[in-house]
Amino acid sequence: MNIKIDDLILTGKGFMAEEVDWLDDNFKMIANQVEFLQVKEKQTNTPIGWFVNGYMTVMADLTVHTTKGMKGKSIKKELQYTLILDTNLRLKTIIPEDLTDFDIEKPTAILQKILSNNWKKVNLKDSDTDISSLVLLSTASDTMLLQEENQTIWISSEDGIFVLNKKNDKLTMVSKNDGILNINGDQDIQLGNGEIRIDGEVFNPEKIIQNISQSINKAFKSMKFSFD
Amino acid sequence: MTETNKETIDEELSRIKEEMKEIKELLKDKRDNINDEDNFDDSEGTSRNFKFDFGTTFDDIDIDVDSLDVTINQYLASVMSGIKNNFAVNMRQFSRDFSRFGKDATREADRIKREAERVKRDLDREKRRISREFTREQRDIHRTFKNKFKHYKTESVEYRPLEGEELEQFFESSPALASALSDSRRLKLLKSLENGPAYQGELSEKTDLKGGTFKHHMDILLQTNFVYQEQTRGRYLITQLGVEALKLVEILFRRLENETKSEEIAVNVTFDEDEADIDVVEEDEDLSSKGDN
Repeated sequence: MNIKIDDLILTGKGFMAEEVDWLDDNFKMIANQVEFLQVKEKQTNTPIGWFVNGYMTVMADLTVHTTKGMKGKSIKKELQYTLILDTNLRLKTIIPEDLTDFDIEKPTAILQKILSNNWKKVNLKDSDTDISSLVLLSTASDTMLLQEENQTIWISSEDGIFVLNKKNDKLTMVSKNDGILNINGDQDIQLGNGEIRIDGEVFNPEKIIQNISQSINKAFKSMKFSFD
Repeated sequence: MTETNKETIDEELSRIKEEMKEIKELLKDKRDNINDEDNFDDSEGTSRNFKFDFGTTFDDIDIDVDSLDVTINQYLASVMSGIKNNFAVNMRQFSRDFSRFGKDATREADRIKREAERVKRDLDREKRRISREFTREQRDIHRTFKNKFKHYKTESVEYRPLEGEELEQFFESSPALASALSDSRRLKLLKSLENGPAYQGELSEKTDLKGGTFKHHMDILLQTNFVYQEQTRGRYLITQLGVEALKLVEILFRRLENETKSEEIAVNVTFDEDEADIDVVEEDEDLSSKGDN
């Protein structure tokens, strides 16, 4: 099933999250007294995620251990309005059984803003595998987070791009503050001709994060440089 | 005289030679048997004249058979002379050819040499051109790269002597860094994290540090940025600074150990020299005692 990002609407149902402290491996969400409004696909009428109508703090430890010491960084960010796409119901532990009705006029406008902002072309694939993924899109400029079983991806115009492959304990960074690219410090990295080559092979972000490749391109463009 | 005639004559001459040989044999026998009636004059040596009657006419060839007088030795001598001359001519020709060949070879070698020099010059020129283009290309790549990533910063650490305000800061904050490394328990913690991230429980087990003691020492390492704690899971990781600090202590330890060993060696050497002096004195004493005797 493919999710069309601009085909999402609010159902009008939701719940008030009193105190959310959701942790999964290196990713954490903290929210207090915020509305979680249910989001569904318009065509299939299938619930697909939540719109957080308020402030929420997200944290991700995008760090790996190397012989030269720790590489990477921890990210902590407060997002005001966030769309959470939870294709495999990973957040079920924080969701109550009964949802209540909410006024969705203002949240709908905000949601549409998010969808039409930078992530319009995002093509999320709900793959046939059982891998659960959690995608966070926000009104915060070009911020996207994908959290899966084996990888965490953070795309932000402020911080750069971080891809943590937990399975192989490898970190890919296109970091704004810490340098251009750093992958555990072990690989031979060459930059030039609009390409990034790692150990002689052209670095292709699509290979690593296939289902959000367009989002990465979008993020690159918004970061005022491109690899075209 | 035509060629055919010449060949015929040659054939006839060969035949005549054979006959002459037979006649010579006959004459020799005759001379041996009838000495008194011998008409030969041996004083003529090997030069003998014969007349031949071919018993036929050579009408078809234009030659006077009767007047044919062949001196064998002269003939053979002339043949040998001909061969000799031929050989000499051939040798001269060969010599000339060889000389010409030598000159040609020299000329060819010069030509090849000139060609090689020209190729070398072309190669050098091409090499310089490629080098220039490569440099230009590199410069373009560098410029492109610089433009593309101009929003990014790269930090480089450069060693320079501390002075002024920086020196003051060094005196102020460095004792804390040194102090963080001045406890064996903290060094144990750093050494445990060198192999990878760990939770508090794992570290406590490895270092025998528990509760408040663990927190106290870990806080010091966290404050000095030798250790980093994850915000989500709470695992501890050694930082690059922590790795370098640990290495620094290890280097100092090794250096101290080696210097101590060096001092021990120096002491041993001095001791050996003293022994040698004593030996010399003993010899002198022996000599003097012998002299006395």
